[in-house]
Amino acid sequence: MERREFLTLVGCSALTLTAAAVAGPEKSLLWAASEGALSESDQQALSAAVNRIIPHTDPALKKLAGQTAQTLATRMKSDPALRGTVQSVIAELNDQSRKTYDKPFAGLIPEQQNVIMEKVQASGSFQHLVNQVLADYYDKPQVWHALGYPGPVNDHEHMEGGYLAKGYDKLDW
Amino acid sequence: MANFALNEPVDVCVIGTGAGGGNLIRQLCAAGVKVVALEAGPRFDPHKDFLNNEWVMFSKTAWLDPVLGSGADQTGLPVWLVKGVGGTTIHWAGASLRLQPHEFKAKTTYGNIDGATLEDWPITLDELMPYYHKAETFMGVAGRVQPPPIGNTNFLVMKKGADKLGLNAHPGTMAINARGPYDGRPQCMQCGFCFQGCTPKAKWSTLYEAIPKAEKTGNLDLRPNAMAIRVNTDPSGKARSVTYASPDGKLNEQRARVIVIAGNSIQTPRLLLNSASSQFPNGLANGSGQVGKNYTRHLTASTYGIFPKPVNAYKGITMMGIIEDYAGHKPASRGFAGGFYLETIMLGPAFLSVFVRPGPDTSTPDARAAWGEPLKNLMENYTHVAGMWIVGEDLPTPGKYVSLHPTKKDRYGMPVPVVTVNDHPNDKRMREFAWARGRDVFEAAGAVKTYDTPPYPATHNLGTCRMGADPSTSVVNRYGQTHEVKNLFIADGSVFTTSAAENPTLTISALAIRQADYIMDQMKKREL
Repeated sequence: MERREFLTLVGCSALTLTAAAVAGPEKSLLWAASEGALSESDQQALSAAVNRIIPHTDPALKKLAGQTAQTLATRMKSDPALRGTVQSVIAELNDQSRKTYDKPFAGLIPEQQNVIMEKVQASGSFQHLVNQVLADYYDKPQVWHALGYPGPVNDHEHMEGGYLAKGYDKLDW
Repeated sequence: MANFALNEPVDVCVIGTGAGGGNLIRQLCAAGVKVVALEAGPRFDPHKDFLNNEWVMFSKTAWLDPVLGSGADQTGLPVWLVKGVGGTTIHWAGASLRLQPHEFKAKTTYGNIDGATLEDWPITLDELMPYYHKAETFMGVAGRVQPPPIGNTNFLVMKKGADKLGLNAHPGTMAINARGPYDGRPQCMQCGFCFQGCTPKAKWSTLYEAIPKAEKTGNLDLRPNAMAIRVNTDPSGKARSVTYASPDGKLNEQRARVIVIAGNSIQTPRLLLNSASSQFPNGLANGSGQVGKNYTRHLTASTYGIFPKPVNAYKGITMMGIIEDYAGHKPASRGFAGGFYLETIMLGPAFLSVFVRPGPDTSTPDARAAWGEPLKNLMENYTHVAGMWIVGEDLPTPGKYVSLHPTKKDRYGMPVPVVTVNDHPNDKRMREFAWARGRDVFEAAGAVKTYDTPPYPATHNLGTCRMGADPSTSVVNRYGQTHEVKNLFIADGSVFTTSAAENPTLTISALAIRQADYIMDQMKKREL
């Protein structure tokens, strides 16, 4: 295991927070920031892969998955290791997809994309991409809220007394 | 606090301010001993610097200087320690357990196990008990000197299963102000972010207990961002000074009558090995060749379960509940030596998604991360998940050790430490057995799915400067004093002779308080 790969997970946090802090127009800002990182077809492949890694169907969760794909594309511009990972995974997916279905990965239906993902999932690049996606996506407060997790209740911005009076010791079943 | 001139000789120089260093510093300064403390990391302000965010706090507080992993059981990050004043008492969960009597006699009790380098501790529980009491009082251990915690929802699920199986799940002894204020620190608000640093200071840490008390005496000069590079000796073979780097990279030398290293089980042997000289060609205090050897990190793993109804396990003290039924040594019925505990644990969504079914980036090379429907099923049930941590005794072997990389160096020119871990078969058998018991508990509580989760990066790092009566097979004596260098002491988990099963912070603290008494006695007698 390369320690470098573990530590690059940490790099996601700052960008996630930045994205979270940009209310409203974040989508356009993120797209603009990632411009030039990937060709349009590779961007579609990355988005499709991210959607299969975190295949939530709830509309709010699905929209946030798109943000993660864009965030990764933006980070690629200044992170050569991540750029190599993403390009490698896209190449593997498209290669397998053409061999199996004679189409690029982004052109497949989700069930077919899962088949292709299972074929390449043992590769180090794919595993690294999964970690990058999870570390970014599930660090988003909007994702927490959509999953039913309220997040901090006792930090600097939320001095609300923790869960002391909010049922920390009550299990109703 | 004191502000001694740079390089002004002092009574004691302590390297590291975690559980070992912090407790020692408090005791020495309270008795009038002049101390310079060198801390490699910064000094955090809990109210300004601690955030309820897992990745942000990891990147802010973890020891991220290079530590390489080697061997068959690698995690993405070999160890998970804190670099800052307070050390890993910032990150720790607060579980404060005393060792069991038989664990001080591991070799005698477990016998000769092939491939294990077991030894007996040179001290007993009876000898340490008065110091456990002192440590529990300073730390404010709930269930000892404060009322016990009230179990949170994660604990109540554990208890539901345990009750059906005839096991005794109960709130653990925790160094957290669970039921009211203590020692000037407020009651826990049950926010659930124990691992990210406790903003209200309800969970004990040397950062806001031992260190401020020591500073109030006027006897402590605390120097954050001071990385110890080597310990220097005089011609007689006594420790003379510590060479350390300031944040600007400038090297300084601090002289002291006594030098204590409390840098944890990775950095302490690293410093000793990097202090090799013509007098000590194998590294300082390493005539036995045991510095860096006998590394243990506890047998760890986790069990998570998804339940039909909400658990909301993120609420409250993370390590609130414990099952002690498997802590004893019962090899005939279990097939392994030593014991383990089941302790409640829960992660936020960011860590849960990465660690419950980790891939090779955060676990062993053959691990495959969850993605797609299995991941979706786990995360969309986040509020319905309960978790428990397995922590047990792992065996020291020739295949677990800390060494210096032969060529790679850090920014100070110090060789990078390498942590080599290969599980002993006993470790593997205990982990499999413990996973099955974790599944039993959650299935009895009604889990619809359970997960066997492999170890996280190691937080309990022990044993690399073993305590023993025989200088030919150990590094320090019963007081943490190195056999070879009379005025050089070690005050962290590296002195553990064997790992025992218990979370180690309370024992590290008790040993440090006991060591302080010994150092002061020896200084009064002019033996030091």
